[in-house]
Amino acid sequence: MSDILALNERILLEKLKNDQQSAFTLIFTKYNHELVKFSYSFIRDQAMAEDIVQEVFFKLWEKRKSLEIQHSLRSFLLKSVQNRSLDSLRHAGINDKYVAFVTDHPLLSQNDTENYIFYTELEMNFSLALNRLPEQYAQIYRMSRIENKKYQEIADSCGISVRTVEVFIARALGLLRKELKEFLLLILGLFQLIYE
Amino acid sequence: MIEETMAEKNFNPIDNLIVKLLGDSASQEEINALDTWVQESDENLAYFRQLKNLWNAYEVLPDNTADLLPGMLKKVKPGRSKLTLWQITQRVAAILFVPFLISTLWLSAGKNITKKKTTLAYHEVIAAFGSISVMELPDGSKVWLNSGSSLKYPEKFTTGNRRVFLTGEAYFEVQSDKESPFLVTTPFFTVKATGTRFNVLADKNFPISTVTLAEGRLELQRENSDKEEMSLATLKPGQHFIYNTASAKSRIENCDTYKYFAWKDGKLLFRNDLISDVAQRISTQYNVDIEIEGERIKKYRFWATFEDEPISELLQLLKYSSPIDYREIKPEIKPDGTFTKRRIIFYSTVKEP
Repeated sequence: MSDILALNERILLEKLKNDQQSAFTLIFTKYNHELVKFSYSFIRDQAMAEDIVQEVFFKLWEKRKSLEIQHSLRSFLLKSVQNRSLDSLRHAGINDKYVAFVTDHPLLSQNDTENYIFYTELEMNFSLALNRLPEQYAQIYRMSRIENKKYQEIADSCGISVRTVEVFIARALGLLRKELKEFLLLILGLFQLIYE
Repeated sequence: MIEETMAEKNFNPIDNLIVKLLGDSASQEEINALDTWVQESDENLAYFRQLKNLWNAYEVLPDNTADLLPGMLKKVKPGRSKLTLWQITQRVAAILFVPFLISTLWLSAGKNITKKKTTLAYHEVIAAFGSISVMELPDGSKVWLNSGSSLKYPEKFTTGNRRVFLTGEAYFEVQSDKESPFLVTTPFFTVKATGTRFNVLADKNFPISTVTLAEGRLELQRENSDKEEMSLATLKPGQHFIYNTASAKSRIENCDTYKYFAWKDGKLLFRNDLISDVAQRISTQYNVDIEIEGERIKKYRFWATFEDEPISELLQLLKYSSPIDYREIKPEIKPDGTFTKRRIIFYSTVKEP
């Protein structure tokens, strides 16, 4: 399967070099959302994340003739988005303490691309793993991640303390990490193959 | 009901700090403490990154790609683009050669799944063209939903029965529960199952609907004019039920069942199948229209396994391995501004006598 992906991407890149806008449209449609999500994991603002990703795509088009992409178009795009996102954070004032923590810590933001690629492969198993958690943990986790509620909001609407919410989320994360460990080990091999 | 009680036992304080940081509810003191801990060792760093990545992997953001595309295209081509948004997305859909993608229900909202909640607390999942959706139902049953199909199911199954609504094609692995039979209601009939694996194809756009049973037992029912459920057929494992929706005639075949749901594994299997079957399954899977031209070609049979090929490759393979060639009719703009589906016509390269 990875062979076919690589072949498709090479064909797309050739078409891009030949000024074919249709190839650009395909690339944009295929990768935009994933890249926005990735940028969002740094920036925590969707509009800004979308802008950053558009800049990356624009640059991709501008530099199309001189593109030399070694591994994969996807990892190239992810790395570009990561660089731009981190740059943008350094220039802007950061209100989010989580973002500040991650960007101030060089080791944390380094190599995030590899880890992100790694984890987007997880998506198929993630919801199945979540559904296997005790219902309470799963519910609270979903309220936080799908409904984007802050811990205080969750606490208020469920009639529990913030502390309990934090504990439940920690348990959910811990269980998910265990649940997905085997799957992670399984695809670790595949991951190394692609990104040699 | 959420219980506050047991939670605090065996609780790791580091997890607490991490969760507070991720949810932006940590104080500066707590952040400093976490920072110290993370710097202590590679293991600590790795642990934090794992949880952070898990947290980020589950991001749900609306997908604005379609809205952003026109603006993007304006920038990469000077001069005003005359295509409307709809025309662009239609054109992309027509020429896209995305291999089968497997995606899940909860994640990637808007990417290739649409999830709506109706006032009856039903979930509806629609698998976008070119992709397959895999999901788990409230009772633990698993469903694979094929390209372009839609499945509606309730938030919770009340006792009595477990009923879902399907248009299109899906493969089910149903949890056993004799007290509560599993029902799949389609536009033409209802499939009643207890603890089985089966495939259902029922779509108003196709003249033929089918049900294929791999394991267990199935009963097919249909409402008659008195609104009573009457039994259409009972299936045993290895049986394939074919229903002509126009004539309401049906028959059962004994067959190699896997080829009818190999699509769930991203494969298209043909086992001595007539070109008309081949054409129908390719057209469902890739959302194109396929027509067969000529009499001789109707007798051809195929034995092939396709796995994740883009349609252009599949057509090439067909062309080189058999006396079949094809020509394509480019999508046209309809009066309402949308595009027709890509049309492909198969014909025999052997001259008719």
